[in-house]
Amino acid sequence: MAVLFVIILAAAVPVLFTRVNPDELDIMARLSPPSAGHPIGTDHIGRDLLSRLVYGARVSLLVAVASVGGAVAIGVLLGLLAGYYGRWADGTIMRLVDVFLAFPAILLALALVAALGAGITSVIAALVLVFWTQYARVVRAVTLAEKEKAYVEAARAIGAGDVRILARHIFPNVLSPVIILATLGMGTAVVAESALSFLGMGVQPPAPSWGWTLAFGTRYLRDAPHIATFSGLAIMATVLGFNLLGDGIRDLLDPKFRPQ
Amino acid sequence: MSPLPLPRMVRYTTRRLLLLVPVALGAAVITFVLLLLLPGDPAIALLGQEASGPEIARFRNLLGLDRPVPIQLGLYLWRMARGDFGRSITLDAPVLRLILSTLPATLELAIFSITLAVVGGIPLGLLAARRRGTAVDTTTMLLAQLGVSMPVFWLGVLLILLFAVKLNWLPSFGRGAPLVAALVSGNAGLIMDSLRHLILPGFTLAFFNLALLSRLTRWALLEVLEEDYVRTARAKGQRERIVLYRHALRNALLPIVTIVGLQFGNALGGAVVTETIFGWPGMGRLVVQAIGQRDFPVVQGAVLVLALLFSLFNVLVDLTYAFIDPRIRYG
Repeated sequence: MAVLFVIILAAAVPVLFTRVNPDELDIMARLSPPSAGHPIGTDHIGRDLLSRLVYGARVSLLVAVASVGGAVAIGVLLGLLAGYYGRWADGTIMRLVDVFLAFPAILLALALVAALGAGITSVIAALVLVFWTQYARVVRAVTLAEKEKAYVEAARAIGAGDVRILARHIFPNVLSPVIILATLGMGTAVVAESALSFLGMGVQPPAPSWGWTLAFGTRYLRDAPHIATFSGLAIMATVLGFNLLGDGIRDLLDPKFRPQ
Repeated sequence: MSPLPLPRMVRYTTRRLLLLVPVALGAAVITFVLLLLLPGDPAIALLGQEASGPEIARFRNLLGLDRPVPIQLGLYLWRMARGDFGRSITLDAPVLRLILSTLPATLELAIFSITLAVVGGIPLGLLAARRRGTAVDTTTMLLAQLGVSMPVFWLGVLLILLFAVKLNWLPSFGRGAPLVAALVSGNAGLIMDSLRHLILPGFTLAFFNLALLSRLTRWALLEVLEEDYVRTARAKGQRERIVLYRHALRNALLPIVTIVGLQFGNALGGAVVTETIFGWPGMGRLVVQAIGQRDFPVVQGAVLVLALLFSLFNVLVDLTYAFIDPRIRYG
């Protein structure tokens, strides 16, 4: 969790970790191993690797927050509608979920980015379209259970409309699983963005991107293994942090996992 | 445990397979929409700005881009239903032929990786459950946590660095002899060549699933070990080994089998990155290369075929429920 905090801090205030401009070139020092001047070495065109990774955190976390946020917004809305209204709404939305779930996630994201054109906006849009289905399914399941409860019937009896019931009564009850999923989803989004960048379809250079740095590092494995090593470590540490955070929130919110 | 009655099983299977039809239709619509998402004129986007007017016009006519969108969609779905995925722009070959030539390599890699994941993950999970609360349990679960957090492409790069670059033990690129053909031939050299090329990409693709399976096996087993019948078995003096393997593990299998089935489908998607790293000549690499060359007929065809295979595997996973646990009722 401490590692995650450091990474978030690096993304928010990168100057706390490096004073070097991530685009500053030092051709004479290209592919240099870690040294006093460059704590974790330089990349293939002499840019400070620590600076590239610190500023790259901003890109990765921005994509993760935007894509998970968008997926949650769409998924929660459609899940509430499907679970509450049932029948044709449920049938239509769940068939749409089935269609999107027919595609392996990274494949669909790749194809969408390829169509939309590589870049940060396309990556976010593609990941939103890939991730919304899991939130829709979970929220639908919770809504189906909640709408049958007495408090909903009571609300209806005193004249509350559908929108009020959904927003004031049912929505707060779907928050717990959504928060858990979203936290775990942040790690998945970081990996997905890095994977797309690794394949050349994500954030484009010269913008600092962990995936791109790792992809270039692969070409220089023999001469400069530190590039691939540190960039991969950054991705893994972030994902591990979100996974542990998600597990912790689940243990806190799910009564089955609370200590007796 | 006896399976569900045959007529009921046939009805359920038929219903699940019929449900595939709207899913396949929807997936085909999505792959069609990919072309519409291309910025500007799709013909220019695919052929490039340097293409001449007659070339662009011929291409638009070939892909039906000069017709209204609903007509284009109808023609596209009709062609897909007939198995006509069009021709590759760059290779000038039928897309279906390209897909069929690369699919065996992807299936080989996916099956090999799932086998590794099952052979490694389930015993690890068993070990962690048996040694619950000990250093073995903690270490195993820590490794599993690292495994599910580690990006596949980074693991592949690290394995290449260690085993191919530093130690020079294993090849880092390409595919050897097809494994099935090598096994059938019985030629030890061919089998070794096949396995040597499979190990690194196979383990890369397997690692996440192996870690996930070990966590799931441990969780499923610990849940089952809390059941009354297990307590009864222990109270009757059964050895722990018998309790674990004859009583607990069989009932813990359902969620494990479910995940293994789903992982096979995920391996098809995960192969996109792994095949690119290792130059494995499968469908994943075909898709990435086609994207780089803006060969959209190939992208559409390959993505659709992978989606259909993915859906089919999910249906097979559902169908195995009845064979494992007849308590599950299909209404």
